[in-house]
This record gives sequence, structure tokens and C-alpha cells, in this order.
Amino acid sequence: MSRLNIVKRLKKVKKFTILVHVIAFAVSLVWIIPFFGVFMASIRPLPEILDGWWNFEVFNPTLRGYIEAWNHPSAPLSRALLNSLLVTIPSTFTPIFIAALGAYSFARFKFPTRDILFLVIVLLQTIPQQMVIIPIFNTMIRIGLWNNYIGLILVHTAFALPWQILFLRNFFSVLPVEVEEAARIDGASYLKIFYKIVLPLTLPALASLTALQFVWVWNDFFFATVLILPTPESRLATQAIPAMLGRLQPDWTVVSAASIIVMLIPIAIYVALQRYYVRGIVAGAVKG
Amino acid sequence: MRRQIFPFLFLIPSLFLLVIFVLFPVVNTVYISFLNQEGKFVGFDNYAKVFSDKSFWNPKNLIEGKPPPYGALIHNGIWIMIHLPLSVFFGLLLAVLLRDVKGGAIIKSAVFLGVVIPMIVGGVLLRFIYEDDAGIVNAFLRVIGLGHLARTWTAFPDTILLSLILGSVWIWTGFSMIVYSAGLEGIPTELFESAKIDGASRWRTFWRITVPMLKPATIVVVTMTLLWELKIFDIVWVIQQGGPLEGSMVMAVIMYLQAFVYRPTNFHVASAIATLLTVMTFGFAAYLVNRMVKS
Amino acid sequence: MKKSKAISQTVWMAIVAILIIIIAAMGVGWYLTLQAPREKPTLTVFSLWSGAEEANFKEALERFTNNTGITVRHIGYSTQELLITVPTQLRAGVTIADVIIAPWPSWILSLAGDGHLTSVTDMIDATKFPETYLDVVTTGNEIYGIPFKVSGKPGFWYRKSFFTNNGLTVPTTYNEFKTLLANISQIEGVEAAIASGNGVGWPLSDTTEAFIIGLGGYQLQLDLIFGDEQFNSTTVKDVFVELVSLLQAGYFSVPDDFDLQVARVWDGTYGIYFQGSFITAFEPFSENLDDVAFFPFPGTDGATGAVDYAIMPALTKHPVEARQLMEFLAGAEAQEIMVGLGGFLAANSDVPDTAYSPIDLSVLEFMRTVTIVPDLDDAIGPPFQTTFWDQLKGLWVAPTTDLDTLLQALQDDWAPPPF
Repeated sequence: MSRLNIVKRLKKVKKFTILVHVIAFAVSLVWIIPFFGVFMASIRPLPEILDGWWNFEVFNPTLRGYIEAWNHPSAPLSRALLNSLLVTIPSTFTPIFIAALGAYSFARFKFPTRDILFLVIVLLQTIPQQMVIIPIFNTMIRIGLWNNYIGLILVHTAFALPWQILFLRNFFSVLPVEVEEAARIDGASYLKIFYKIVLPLTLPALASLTALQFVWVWNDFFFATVLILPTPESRLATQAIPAMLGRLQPDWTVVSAASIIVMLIPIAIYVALQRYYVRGIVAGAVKG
Repeated sequence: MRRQIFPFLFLIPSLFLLVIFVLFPVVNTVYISFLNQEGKFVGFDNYAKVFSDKSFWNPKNLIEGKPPPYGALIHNGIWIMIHLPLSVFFGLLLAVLLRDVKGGAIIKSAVFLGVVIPMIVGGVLLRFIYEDDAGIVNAFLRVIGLGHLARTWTAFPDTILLSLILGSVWIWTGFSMIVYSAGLEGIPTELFESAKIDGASRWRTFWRITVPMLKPATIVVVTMTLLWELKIFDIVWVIQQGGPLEGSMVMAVIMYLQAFVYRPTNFHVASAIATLLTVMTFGFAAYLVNRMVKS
Repeated sequence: MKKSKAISQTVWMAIVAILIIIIAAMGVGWYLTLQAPREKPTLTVFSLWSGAEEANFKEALERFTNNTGITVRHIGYSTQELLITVPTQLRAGVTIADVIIAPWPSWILSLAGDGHLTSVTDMIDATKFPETYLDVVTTGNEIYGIPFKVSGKPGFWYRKSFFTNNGLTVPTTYNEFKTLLANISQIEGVEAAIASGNGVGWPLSDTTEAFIIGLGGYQLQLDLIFGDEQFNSTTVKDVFVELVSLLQAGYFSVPDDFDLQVARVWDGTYGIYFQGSFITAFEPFSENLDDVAFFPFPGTDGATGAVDYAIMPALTKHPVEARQLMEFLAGAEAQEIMVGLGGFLAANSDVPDTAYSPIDLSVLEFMRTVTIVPDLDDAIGPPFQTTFWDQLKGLWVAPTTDLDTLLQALQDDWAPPPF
């Protein structure tokens, strides 16, 4: 290629790159503005918000929104966040153990009905919450676990199993069998092999499951709203927000502050475990 | 013998929970949907009732070219028709654009936030941006000279559905973007290099190489997005609970209202709606997964 | 493989730590949810009240605690949450609330019909309460709700000085009313003659009912509630045609939050505002009560009274104490405290006239001259109520709506009230 052509090509490439950068930033701006808006609304007094949070002539930031959301009379976030943690943490770790056992079984053992059983479990992933909620509601009443976090934890655990079993089974199938076989020859029990050898190697997968499940349970509203009676003491974080909208015009300062607080937790988990979270999604083994 | 039992031992906890809390409820719901309030078997009566309920199925306005409400089923359908192509398209666009941009990773994370936040908060955000005085959508309209259109979009039956759909594109696009990003990274660079050597233009490369190689990613995105659109609840609920005038009613919401809010509560009709919803979800998922397995 | 051995130590500890966290969390959760009953029973009351109303109610509850030593906890909910939460917990057989205060007679009767409520017939002296209040919560000869607090919807509120400064007079006939609206509309600074309130829809339904009763008589309202009159009859249609003509003339404002509208009536953006008497508790009315007055719908023979009823779940964990609270709420002592907030009336006739502020007294005296009827949508209940509200919201926004369709929709969703 002649020198002139090279220069021409470089210029074309540069223009293109600039164009791409501009479009990228413009689009990104569109996506980020609503979040920025909510943040602004959370620190500004109501009249300023009603005039438009993008106006900065009058700017009197206040922490009132956060304080009132934290101590809200019917939905105090101070309590709601704790309640959500009380449900989310067990709901995140319990299914992992149970699913890991089951997935290992599917991956390593051959037994009759294995493939059919696995197929059924995979199909169960698509079941929407609405399909199971009425019988679950009745069951919980019958076993006395309605309005009890344990009931909610059980439901979340059960719901997590199909996709977690699929995910882990795929993961296990790729792990080399030789190490486990060597240990077996040395006389180790299956359980020991599982916990001392297989599980540690599975950590990246477990991190994915943790990230995805934590966010899913924290964000859940439907199961919580059917199974937990909302009182100021028992509300979960996601139930607290609609309660703050109130009957009249929402106090946007407070509602925005509450929204920011409640969404910060899953965002923090996402940021901390980003790599694993994304891997989990991309593996296609995520529920909508 | 012991060898036979062992795998099942590992599986017992899973099976136990799955049967009680997933399998049995599914069967039970289907069963209930065929009974009436007194417990008698009535065949497809409840399903007929569902379709004769204007909150669920009301194509009259649609046929006459009038604005919503059209009934929950049609609303979900519209949601799919608008939201699916838009979020897939924008996801792909963003994945491609942000691949080589400085700070692209951070921007991608920011766009993805919509998927990570609770949908209740998502709904509150949408309500906020569509408010008359406090919302940026109207501020934008005023800036570009369309201020006379400004209103609280979520307060009117004829505009709430579209507002929510477009808002949900903003929320969900991050998902398709992330999947496509991963898909793009999976395309071997040799393909691009040989295309360059052959003198192919960017456009051609995109259509002839990138898109076909992204087929598995596309199937994942389409399946997951479709399921999300069918099951949408929180956003609609927190804003107007399906209103106003049922302009934003969707299947998941009407199912909840029938089961827990309307008096007298009707578990049976609600179960029928849930079953219909699941059949649709399942049907779409099965079809798409089938295609994925084939390719 | 050496690496995996080194990892497994830390991993092992991590797993143990996580297990401890899980068990601890579940233990705490278990404890907090299944709270052990305390020695001194604490009653829990659910209601719709917040802010000033809640503070006022708490005053009454304090008096109760002073009298009996029983502590009472109050939780205020939004309409939506109360409507969902109460039936759900009653159905689950696990009721947290010992007493519930709600303004929806049909809803109360529906719960009673399912056997969830305790009858209150022997808790009250029925002669002290207006019959219409008790009838709507009676089924099978048992009364299920104690009328606790009444908010009358007497008429159109206005600022007295606004009228005198603009030479306006209170109308005594419907034609004078229309003339008044026309006159108000022409005053400078006025955007609309009548303010419209927003929210779930009750301000609009209240206004509409004023027209139904005012133009059709209180009997029309009762007939519509009980199904002796159809919504798509010519009588009702005439009322709506008249209403629509006023809407189309631009006499009604764009609906906005009902409390914000008070300020706009005050500063002359709007002229009059149909509202319940509780509106006097809102600023700037509340600070300037001597400049505030109302006039009833000209020529009307009835008015709606919205009654807050106290009900008691059958499965309350503290039946003895709950009963005491119910009897207290029925009595003149409690109801007199509630009247102190202003803007509300007591249901118990033993409450003396002297307990009322002048403006409340004027409302009370007006209400005595007309037949009090239940609120239309509260009596019939959902799904009619939601349809009614939604249809009116649509009508206010687009007053050219096909009335036949609208009225038919109302008729379709009418169901006989459960009494």
C-alpha cells in the first residue's frame, strides 16, 4: 500500500473511532441519568425535586430523606435491611450445599432414572413463581410456617435448586475424574472426596451461584409479599418501598433515599463478585 | 446395592424440597384450575371465565385502533413485541460499541445495573422519571419543544403501558448486552483478521461473521427476555397495580389480584391464569431451546 | 494438586464459618418472627391512619392504657396494604391484629360472612348510633362493626373572604349554582371553578355522589347501592349528562393531590372544593378556620357519611383485652377525643355538642337535617369500587367519554352488597 493510502486509512479509522466513542458515551449517558436523578432526588428537599432535580440554582442538600427512610414509622429500613439479610443469607448458602450434592451425583454416578430425573429438574427452571404460590401459601399455613422467615427461606431454597443443579452438574462434568478416582483407591469415602477435593475446586462456580442467588432473593418481592405479613418489624426491604409510596403524592426525597439504600446491597454484591456473576449469567443457567 | 443407593442419598435433600415446594405445587395448581369454588370438577370453565373477563382479554379497543386497555394477555403480547426487539438490538449495539471504548467496562457495568436492582425499585425509578414536574422525560420533551405533551405518563390508562414497556427496555437491555459481550469475546479473532485481509468492510464483517457466530447468544437472550416479559409483576404492581383502568394489567398481576385481593378471592381462576402463563412460558422456552440444541 | 490441599484448609474453615452464620441467622430469624407472648398482653391495632390522624388516635389509646393498664400498639397502613394484609392473615388463621379500623362496610361484611370476625352486638348500645351506620355492617342479625369516627361530606368548601371580595353568594338552587360556577370562572386568576382531588379516586367519587344525591335524591343513592336502580337507567344517565356538561364547560380543575388543592382554593386558583369535613384539618384551612365555610349541594336531601368501623378478628390471641378496647372505642370518652382533631364527627350520640369546634358543629348540624346515606362505592365494595374510581378518573380527563359504555361498565361490576 502506498503511503498516501495508509494515511487515508488511518484517518478513516480515527474518525470512525471518535464516532464510536461519541455514540458510546451518549448512549451511556442516557442509561446512567435516571440513576443520577434518583441520587439527586434523595439528597434534595421535595420542593427542589418538584421543580426538577436538574436545576441547580437552588441547591440545599439534605440528609432528611435517608434519616426518614431509616426510621420510617411503618417501614423502617433499619429493620427491613436486617430482615432481608436474615432471609437472603440462608437462602443463598443452603441451596448451594444441597444442589452441590445433587449435581455431583448426576455428574459422577450412573444410576437408573438418572437422565429422566435430570431432565425433569432442568425443566422445573421455567416454572414461574405464580404457578406455585397458591399451593405454597396453603402448605405454609398448614405447617405453621406462614409469616415465618424459615418458610420463605425454604421456598427460595427449593426454587434455586433446578438451575443450581444444572449449573453445577455441567461444571462437575468438566472436572477431571482422575484425582477423585485416585482418592477413592486410597480408600476415601465419597463424602470425603466431595468435601475435601471436589468442593474446593468448585469455588468459582460457587461464587457465581452465591452472587446470582443473593441478588435474586434480595430483590424478590412476590414470594415475600405473599408469605410475610408486613408489619414494621417483619417487612423485608422490597416490601418497605411500596409502603413508603403512601396514599398521597410520594415524598420523593424519602422514597429515593430508600430506593438507593435498598439497591446498594445487590449492586455491592454484583461489584464484588462481578466476574462470577457475569459468568453465571452467561452460562445460560440463570432464571429470568 | 450400596452403590445403587449412594447417588440417591446425595439427591434426597434436593428431591425432598423440589417435590414439596415445586413439583407438588405445580400439579396442585393445575388441578385446582379445573375445580370451582365449591370443589366440584368443572373442566375448562375457569379458563373460559378467564377469557371472558375483560381485564384479561379485551381486543375491542385494539381492533378499533383505540388506546389501551386491551386486557392482560394482549398487554403481555405487546410488551413482547416492543420490548424484545428493542432490548436485543440495544444490547447488541452496546456490546459492539463498548467493546473497544476506553472505560467500556465501567459503562457496561452501569448499564447492567438495571438488571441487578430490585424490580420494585425499578418501578419506582420509572414512576419518578415519568412524573409531570419531577420527571426527566417531560423535562426532555420541554427542551425539544414538545412541552405540550408533558404529563404524568403513568397516570393515564392510554399511556401507561407504553411508558412502562419503554422503561423496561432501559432496565433490561443490560442483560442482553452482557450476554452479547461474552458472545463477542468468544468469536475467534482469526475470523476477523482473515476478513480484513480479504478486504471486507466493517458492515459486511458484522453481518456475515459476527451475527451468525452470535446465534447461541441470541437464543439465550431471546429466551430469557421472553420469559422476563411474560412474568413481569413488580414494576407494574408498584406503580399502579395494573391500573389505571387496567391500562397496565399483566397476567402475573391479575393472577395475584384474583388470588389475594379481589373479594371473594378466587384461587381457581387465579390458578387457571397461572397455568396459562406457565404453558406459554414453557412453550416458548422449549421451542427456543430446541432450536439452540439443533444449531 | 498440592495447591488444592492448601486451599482445602481455608475452604474448610470458610465453610464452617458460613454454616455458623447460617445457623445463627436462622436462629435469630426464628426468634424474631415467632415472638414469645409477653406477660402483659399488648394489643395491636391496624388502621389507615398516619400523621395527625394517627397522633390523635394514639391520644385515645393512651387514655385506654391509663384506664386499663393494657398497652396498645398501632400500625398504620396504606389502603392497598390493609385490603390485602387483613384478609390474608385472617385466612391464614394467624392474626396479628386484635382490632382493625376500616371504612368499608361491604368488606367488613364479607369478612364476617367468612366467619373471620367477632360479633359486636353485645359490645355496644345500639340506640346511641344512627341506624344507617349499623345497618350496613349487620348480617344475620349480628352487628360486626362499631362506628367509631365519622367524616361527613357536607358540601362545597370555600374561602369566605374569596366570596365576599368577589361579590359571590352562596347558591340555594341548582341554577344559582351553575351561575356561581360561571361567575367564578370569570374571576381573574381562577383556573377552574371547582377543585378536583386526585388519589385512588375517592375525591372524584365523593363529588359524583354529591351530584347523584343532589340531583337524584338520597333514595337514588340507596337504590343504586342495593340494586333497586340500574346505573344505565335514564335517571342516572341524566345526572351524568349534567355532570359531563359541567366538565366540558371547564368548571372542574385537573385532578391533583387532594391536599395540595386546599392551598389552591385558598389562594384563589380554584373557587370551591367538594370534600369531606376532615378537609378542615389541612392547611391553610386549619390555620384560618373562621374564613372557611361550606354550602351543601343546593336542594340536596342527603349526604354521605363515611364511617370508620372498629372490627375484631375472631381468632385474636387476646379476646378479653380486645373486647375491652372495642367497648372503649364505642364509648363517648374515646369518641370525644377523636373529635378533638377537628374535621370529624363522633358516631356515638352521647358525645356533647360542646366537644366540637364551631365549624364541625355546623357540619354536624347540617348532617342532622338530611338523611345520611353510606358512601356508594364503599358500600358496594370492589370490584365496583375500583371500576367506579377508574371510570371517573377517565371521565375527568376526557369528559367526552361515551356515557353508555361507562354506565354499563359500572352496572356490570355492581354486585349486591353482602347484607
